[in-house]
Amino acid sequence: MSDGPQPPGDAYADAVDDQRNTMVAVFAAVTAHLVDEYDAGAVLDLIAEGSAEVLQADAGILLRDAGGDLRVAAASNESARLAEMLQSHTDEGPCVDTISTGDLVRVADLRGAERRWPLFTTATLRVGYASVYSVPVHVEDETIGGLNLFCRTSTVLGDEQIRFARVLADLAALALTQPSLRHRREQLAERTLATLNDRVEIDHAVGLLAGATDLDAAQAATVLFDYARRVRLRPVDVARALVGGSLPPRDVAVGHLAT
Amino acid sequence: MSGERRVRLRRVVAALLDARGGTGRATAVCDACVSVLSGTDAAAVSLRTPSGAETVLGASDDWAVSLEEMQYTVGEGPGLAAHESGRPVLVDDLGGEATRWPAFVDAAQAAGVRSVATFPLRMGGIRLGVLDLYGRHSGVPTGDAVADAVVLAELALSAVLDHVSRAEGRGEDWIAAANSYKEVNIATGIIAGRLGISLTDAFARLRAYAFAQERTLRAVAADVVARRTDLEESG
Repeated sequence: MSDGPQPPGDAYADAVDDQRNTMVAVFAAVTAHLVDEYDAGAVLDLIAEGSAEVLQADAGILLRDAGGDLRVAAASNESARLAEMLQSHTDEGPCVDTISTGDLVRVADLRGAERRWPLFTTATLRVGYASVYSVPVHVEDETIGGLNLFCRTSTVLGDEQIRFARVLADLAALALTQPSLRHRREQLAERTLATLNDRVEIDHAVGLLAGATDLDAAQAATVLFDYARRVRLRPVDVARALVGGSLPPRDVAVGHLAT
Repeated sequence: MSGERRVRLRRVVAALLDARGGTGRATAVCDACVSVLSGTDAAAVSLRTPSGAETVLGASDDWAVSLEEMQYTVGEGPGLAAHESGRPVLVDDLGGEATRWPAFVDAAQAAGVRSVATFPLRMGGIRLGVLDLYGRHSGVPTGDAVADAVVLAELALSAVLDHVSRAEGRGEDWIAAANSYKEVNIATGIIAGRLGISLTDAFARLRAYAFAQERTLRAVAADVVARRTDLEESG
């Protein structure tokens, strides 16, 4: 079968296959970073470079920071960085609109956009770009930025290309939210150990109280908790004072001991 | 790629968790270790505080629970070594480690253990505990099994954090529900209070007594709490 004449359209199919293979390589590189400890900035760079490679455009990521200012988070080259900075400085452009509406903005021919974004359009045409796409980066319900694609010739991106860009924008959102998830997990891990430790200190103190008096363990626990309530301390603080020796067991057990 | 491995193992854990009725995620991870890792016959997840207190949060069976308690009783073994070093400890043939952990090797071999692999559960710089894997036969784990075990240890850590987070959300006491050594801690306090010695010394006495009597720490502690023994025989 394979030695027959090549059907027409195979060159196109090969090009599509090449693009798919590059897409897979980009996803693999980005997700490999995300499952390990990573630097969010490095992942955003990978995403910008991967978008540029697959979509044959220049790419950048613009994020709105906590103060509401737009900042360039990544760019595949210096022209893309300049086009990003133009939006940040003029506070107008496709990405500004994407962030405020949450929608994808497609500008296949930038020459028609002078009315919509006068400063941005003039300057970006001068940089040499003909088409601009801005794909929203969503975190939960909020749009925190955009993945922007800049083409030097007038370009219409197809559905599959847009889908690819949207997945990369989602991965950018993941890269930005994972560190806070990590922080929450670290806090939880610390709290887990602290809770265990507190419990052990209380158990030690209950034993100490029982060993130093005639109370059994259950009575000693009741006495310790009653005492903590009476003096308005946390049980673990009473336990620490008992274990540390600053609080004599008899002071805690006073009124509960056989005379 | 480790992402695929993770997805596959996560599915195994999820299926075993379903089979258990949706509770005990740490135990489901232990079950997954036994079902996926060749050479692993039992697994346990133990938490350990810097002061040395322990809690068994999940175990594949009672044998695993008893082996965890064995390491706790003798105060040495691969789990403790992994926790202290922060690195995995792989023991293909326990018989070769008799000088390193004489008491543990002796007791574990008598219980039928031939190989142990143990992985620390770490979150950044925080050491929470270990995943201990026990085998009835000696043998070197394959590279693939070690790679699976590393991912399962991560899933065990997630299971621990998930367990604590859910319990906190519901206002439940997860320590009381876990297999903790509460009576050992109380018994340690009783001995310290009665003899006027430090908790560290009291724990050492308890451990020495249990070892000399060939009983578990927990059994001896129960006697101390019930005032059935004053440890006098230990000298």
